[in-house]
Amino acid sequence: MSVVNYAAKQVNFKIVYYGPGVAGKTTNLQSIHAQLAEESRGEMMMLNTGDDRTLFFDFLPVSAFSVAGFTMRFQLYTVPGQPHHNMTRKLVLRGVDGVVFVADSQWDRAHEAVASFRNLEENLREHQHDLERLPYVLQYNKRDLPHVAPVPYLDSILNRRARRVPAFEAIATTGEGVFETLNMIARMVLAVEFGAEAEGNGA
Amino acid sequence: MQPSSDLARVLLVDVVVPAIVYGMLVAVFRSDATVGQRVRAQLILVGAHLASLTILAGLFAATQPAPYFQTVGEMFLEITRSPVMQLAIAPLMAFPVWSVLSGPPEARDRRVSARPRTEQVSRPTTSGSHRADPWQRRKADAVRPGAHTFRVETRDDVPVVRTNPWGQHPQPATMTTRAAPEACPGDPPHEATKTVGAADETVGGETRRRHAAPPSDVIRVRFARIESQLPAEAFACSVGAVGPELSTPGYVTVARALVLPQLSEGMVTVPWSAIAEQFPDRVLIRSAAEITAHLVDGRLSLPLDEVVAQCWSEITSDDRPCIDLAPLARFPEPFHPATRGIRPDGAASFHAAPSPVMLAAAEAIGAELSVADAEDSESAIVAEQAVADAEDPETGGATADVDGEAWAVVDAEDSETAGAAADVDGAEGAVADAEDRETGSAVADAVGALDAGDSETATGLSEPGGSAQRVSDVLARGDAIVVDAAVEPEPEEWRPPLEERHDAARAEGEPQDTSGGVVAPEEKHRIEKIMRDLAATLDERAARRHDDDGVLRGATESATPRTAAEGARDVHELEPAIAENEAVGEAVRGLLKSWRAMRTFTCDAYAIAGRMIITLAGNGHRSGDLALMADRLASMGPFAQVNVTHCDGAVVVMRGNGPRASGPLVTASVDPGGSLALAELLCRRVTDKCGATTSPPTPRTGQALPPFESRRVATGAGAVYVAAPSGTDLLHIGALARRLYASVTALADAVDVVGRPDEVSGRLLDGSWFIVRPLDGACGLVAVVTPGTIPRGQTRCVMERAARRAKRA
Repeated sequence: MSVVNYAAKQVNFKIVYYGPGVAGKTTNLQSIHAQLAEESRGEMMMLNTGDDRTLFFDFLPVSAFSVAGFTMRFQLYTVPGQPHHNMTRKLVLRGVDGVVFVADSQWDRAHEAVASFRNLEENLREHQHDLERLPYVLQYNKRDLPHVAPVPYLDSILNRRARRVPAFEAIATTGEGVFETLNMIARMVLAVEFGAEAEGNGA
Repeated sequence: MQPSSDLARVLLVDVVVPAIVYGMLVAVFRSDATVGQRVRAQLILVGAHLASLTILAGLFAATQPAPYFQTVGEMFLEITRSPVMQLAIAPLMAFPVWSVLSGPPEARDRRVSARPRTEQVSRPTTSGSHRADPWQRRKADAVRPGAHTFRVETRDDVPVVRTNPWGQHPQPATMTTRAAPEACPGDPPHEATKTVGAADETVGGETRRRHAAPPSDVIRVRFARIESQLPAEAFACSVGAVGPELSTPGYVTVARALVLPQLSEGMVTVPWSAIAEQFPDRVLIRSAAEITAHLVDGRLSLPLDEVVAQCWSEITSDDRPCIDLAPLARFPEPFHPATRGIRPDGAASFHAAPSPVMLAAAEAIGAELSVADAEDSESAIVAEQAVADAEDPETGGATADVDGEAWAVVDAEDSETAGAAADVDGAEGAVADAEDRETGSAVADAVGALDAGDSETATGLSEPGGSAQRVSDVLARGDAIVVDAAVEPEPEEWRPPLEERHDAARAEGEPQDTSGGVVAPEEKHRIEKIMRDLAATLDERAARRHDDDGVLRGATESATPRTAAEGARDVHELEPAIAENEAVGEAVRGLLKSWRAMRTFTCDAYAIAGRMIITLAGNGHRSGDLALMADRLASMGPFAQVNVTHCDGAVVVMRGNGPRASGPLVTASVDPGGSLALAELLCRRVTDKCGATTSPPTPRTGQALPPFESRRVATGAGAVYVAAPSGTDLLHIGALARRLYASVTALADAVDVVGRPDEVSGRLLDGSWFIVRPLDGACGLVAVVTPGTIPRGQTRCVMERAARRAKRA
């Protein structure tokens, strides 16, 4: 749930980068951190194991434009993708406003992506969320690698809900597709929060 | 010319020769047809040939004055002298019925499956028809081993931009991002989708949809791609030599119906029985059961790329609508990269100058990290499995005996998981758990701290003047939405209210402690009186009421958190007393300074009935409540430490001076979602700063569990399943567990700080670990005691095991 801080005149949103292990969630945040202007980003905290796998989560606060005098702030989280860290994923998902599902595009990682997506649905259900209402986008990462599955197939296994959501191809290591993904989920989150009211205000 | 010779010539020229010629034509143009279909096509062509001759003869005869039928015969014989024209005419006549010659689609599909050397992948066509034109079909569709390229059927006169959805090496330069709303999947193809849609291609400057050929009822997979999964000893020859021996040489075929439901799983597997019959008996020397046992989960995994390529029509036949992205147009893109590419040193800069709260969160996590770094991530799973496997399914009834063998399993697994436990910064209780449940709790601390505490991400939850509200609430106040391009300036650096209060107090000339810590007896008496008065004040403010027998009961009327004014008053009143306390005054003052930076917690010192209680309360809790609870918990049993985890947070109560119980009580609570680990860490810090004796250190390595016994202890309120080292008074432990849990539950009814406890744990005065937990969905408690030399992670393993046993019982 977005939180308004009247003292600081900020509205905080929580966006979680979800996906299987080694899909590139942390790399997404690294890319955002590296490319975003310093005044728009905070400190990034990464808690990785020796092999660069996220152990707990990564965290990067970024700020955007202002609405009604309130600065829109997005707290970007990642989750550990390994199956046995499900409790951690549940906790990170608490209060989430939007989800970016990062999938590895390689053929041999397709099954993990599907399993992770189902895990996302289950964990959201425990927080009384569901993907029908929660803004989320898909990102097919690592498109520069050989043996990647075609996007229509990835769509067929991940973008399966009644209404399809935006899906992005990305190469997080070079930053391609990263900001497109972030901007899309940020706008979707804003639209959910401000959409109806904005209509009512004639904005 | 004799009639017999004429007849022979007619048979030769009009039947035999056309049959040969047409047979050759069919063989050339319908190489993928079966023999029967070729013969049928040949006969039809010969018939057409004869029909054309008859028709021509009839036409010519109509122009002659002689009797018609006689003339027809003569003309027929005349025409057949030069059959070349008819040989050309007949196929043209048969062209409209070529599809009939080729047989129905099902027949063609079966034909393909029967001819394995011909490529059978679904082939998108450039036309709008689903049926391929045989005269446009090319022959070169053979599968090249190792190649995964997607062939696009084209016509020579049409320029085609070939797409490569199966591409081995996609070109980043042409890779486009499909940015909604313009490029949402399923939208009409446009430039952005030209490289991603296998069924799309640009033809003549416009993009149009290619349609796949009708699907086959079988999927073919190259045997070379799956042979590595099969045991080599299962074959009489080498695995590489098995391929040509298959019923479809080089390939295994799988029913499409078996494959399609699995496509959405991202993995396609088939049982051995589904393909076993394609292997000749002379090749297999092992039974199906033996081969199945060798396979992962008894199933053979098929290469997904080959399967998907043959199911392309099913994958791309998706016409679901996109979500409505029109409302997004009102918002500008929030983020724009300032620089392109990632700095090589980007990772190093991520950790620069973390805020105090981040440090605190990182410390809490760091304690866990030291464990997790050392532990094998799989060992926890293996351990869990080992415990489950070791459980005796026969155990039941009222007694859950724990035999030595079963515990030995726990010993073995704990030597891996709990052996990694490390005492980091004195917070041994915070680091011993190898289970995800515990690490998740630690993450909850960090997430909560970051959600609410980071200086850059301050939320109303942690600000005195803030409150958590939805954005819609803001808008409900009438604020119009104005999207400003500029980023708002950062707010001023947050200053903890507590620090401000202290500064204000000092500015007012509050008298400082000049006694040097030496307090006269009469002064002590005065201080104790002040503290008792303060306790009474706290009780009054909290609006607690006690019934006649002195049991704390009932909810408070003033359930709102303390106000800033109240907090300032408390501190102002308490600080003289604290300053004059000979044992802890100085330490507590330092403590107060130390914790000012962490705004998610409020540090206070309370005096209840002469007992100094230092509380670190989360903002969602009241320090007074926590002090009251600590006082109650400390009087419940011979505990050096009591931990309570519940749905509303976690509370730790610790005796500052350990067994002597002469120092202040230290208690800490964390907000909902917070973990025991963080609360313990806070308490440890407090006891360290107060110079108090901490609990016995936890060993860094796991110790073997002594022989255990378990028993179901019947108490007045219900059963308690107790597991403890042999020789321990299990009845006493059961009674203690019941008493402790009942007391905590009673507190939960009275104090807002805790809900119904999920678990009450702690250390006994002799250092033993003691855990009490209610049984899920059943009446009763589970209590476990383990020696203090055993890391708590190992204790948790015992607990989990005992809980499972009790649940079964």
